[in-house]
Amino acid sequence: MATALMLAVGVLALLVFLLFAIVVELYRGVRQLREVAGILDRPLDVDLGDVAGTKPSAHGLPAALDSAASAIVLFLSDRCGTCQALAAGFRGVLPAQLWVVLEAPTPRATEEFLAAHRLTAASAGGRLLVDAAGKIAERIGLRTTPVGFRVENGHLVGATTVPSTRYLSSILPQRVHLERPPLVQERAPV
Amino acid sequence: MVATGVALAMAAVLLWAGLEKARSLAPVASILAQLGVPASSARTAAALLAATEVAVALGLVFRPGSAATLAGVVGLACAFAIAGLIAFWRHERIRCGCFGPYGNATLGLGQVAALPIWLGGAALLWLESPGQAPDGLRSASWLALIGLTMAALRAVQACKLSREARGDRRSALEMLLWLPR
Repeated sequence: MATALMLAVGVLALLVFLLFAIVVELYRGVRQLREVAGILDRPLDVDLGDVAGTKPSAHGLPAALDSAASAIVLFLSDRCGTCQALAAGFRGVLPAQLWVVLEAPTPRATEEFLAAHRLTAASAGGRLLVDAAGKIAERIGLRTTPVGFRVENGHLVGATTVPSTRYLSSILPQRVHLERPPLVQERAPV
Repeated sequence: MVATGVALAMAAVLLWAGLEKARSLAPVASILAQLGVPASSARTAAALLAATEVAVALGLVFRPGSAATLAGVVGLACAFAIAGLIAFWRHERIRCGCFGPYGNATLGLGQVAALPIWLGGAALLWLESPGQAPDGLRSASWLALIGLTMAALRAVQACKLSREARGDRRSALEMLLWLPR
C-alpha cells in the first residue's frame, strides 16, 4: 500500500513538473509577443559618463536639487507615447520628490501637453520645468525619453529609462515617518 | 550511500531530459536530422530517444545495478558523446536540446567530456550493487523525491516568469488605457 502511494506521488509529481513546464512555455510565448509589440516593462540603464557625480545645477537644472537628499528628475517629451502615459498617471499632481523636465518644441505644444494632463505650476509644487529648446537635455547629452535621473545628496548618481508608471513608482524615494507616542505632560511634585 | 546518490542524480538528469524531449519532439527531431538521421525517421528516433532516457531513468531508480539499466546508461552516454563529436568535426553550431527546446547550449566536446562521468557512474553502480534490486518502497520513495524536486524547480521558474509577465501586463494596460484618448 505504502509503495503504491509513493508511486502515485512520484507519478503525480512528474505530471506537475510537465504542467509547470507548459506554463513556463506559455509565459515565454507571451513575452516573445510583447517583445515584438514593444510593450515590455524593462528599464534600461543609462550610462551617465562624465555627468555622474555632478551637481544638477551644472546642467541647468534647479539649484534646489543640489541640496536634495534624494529625488528623481524625469525627462518627458510631448512626442513620446510612454511620456504621455506617465504624465497621465500623475492625475495632475506630481508625487513627492519627483521633478519633471518637459521637452516640447513650441510653447503651444507645451500648453497642450500640460492642459491635457492637468499639470500646472501650483499642482506640480514648483517641481515642473519646461526645457524650451531642449537646452538642458542637450547639456546632459540626453537623446531619449522618458529617462529618470536619480539624485542623491545633491549629485546625479544614476539614470534609467522609465517604461511605465509602475516602474516609476518603484524608483521614487519613499519616506518612512516615525510614529512617536504623544508626549505626556510631567505632573508637578506634591 | 554514494552509489545511491549517483544513481539518483543520473536518474534525475535523464528523467528531466527525457520528459522535456517527450513534451516537444519537433526540436529534437530537427537536431537529429542535423546530425545525419534521415528526415523521414528523425521524429521516430526522437521519440525513441526520449522513451529510452525515461526508461533508463526509471531503471536507475528501481533496478540501479541491473545489466539492462547500466547498458542503457552506457549506450546513452556514448550516443551523446558521438553527437558532440559529429557537431565538433563538422564545425557546426547544432543546438543541444538536451533539457528541452530552450537554452543556447550547443553540442560539442562537452558531451565527450561528460562520457567518463557517465561511465564512471555506471561502473560504480555495477561494483556496489551488481544485479541487486532495492526495496520497492525505497525505490518508490526515491521516485517521489526526484519528481517533487523537479516539480519544485519548475514551479520556481514559473513563479519568476509569472511576476515578470504581471509587470509587463500592467505596463501594457497603462498604455492601452491611455491610447484611445
